[in-house]
Amino acid sequence: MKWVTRENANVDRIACPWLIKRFIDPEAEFLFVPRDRVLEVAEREGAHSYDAPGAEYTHRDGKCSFDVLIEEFDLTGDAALVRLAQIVHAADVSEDADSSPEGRGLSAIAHGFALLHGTEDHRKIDLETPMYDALYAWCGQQGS
Amino acid sequence: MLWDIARMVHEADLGDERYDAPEAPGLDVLLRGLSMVRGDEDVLAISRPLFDGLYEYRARATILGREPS
Repeated sequence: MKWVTRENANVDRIACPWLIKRFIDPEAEFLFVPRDRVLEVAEREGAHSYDAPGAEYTHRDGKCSFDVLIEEFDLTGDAALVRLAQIVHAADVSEDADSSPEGRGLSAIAHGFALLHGTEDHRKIDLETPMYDALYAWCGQQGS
Repeated sequence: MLWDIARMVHEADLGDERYDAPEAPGLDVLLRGLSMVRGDEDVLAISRPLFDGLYEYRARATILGREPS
């Protein structure tokens, strides 16, 4: 299945592909397009849209797209994933920057990758996938 | 900028609150997680671009006088 979002991603739009590939759709293919073309491309490609205004899975009720995907795909039983979502949320939602102490570090790192790689979003996915694997592994060790 | 990174690394490593480095806890758990799932060589290969990014982030923050968004 194709998944489409806005290009020039920072936190949520790179964390979501990690989540989708690992837990929702291992065959997922990701498209990054200009903000005003997300819904049009989703319609044309028969793709899921995420993290964009009017998208299928996007911010709602104070939750970021990563939170929403975890809820929608019934992944809340995975304690490590729920802990990771707290970090991603803090990194992504500036009003909640201090809701998890690890958020500001992840935000700085994700923004750093975005500054270096701009609209090369697939490159960011490649570079940041091991990072989210690592955070997930750490989260899995907490409370055990 | 390099000093900003040094502060983050100091606090990520020691956590003694000698410096104000709010990014340190995230950097700390990320590097801990990496060493749980990867060998030393991979940790270096994966974290090198990460530190390049952090350096760029601090450089931009210094120019802007605020955190880049």
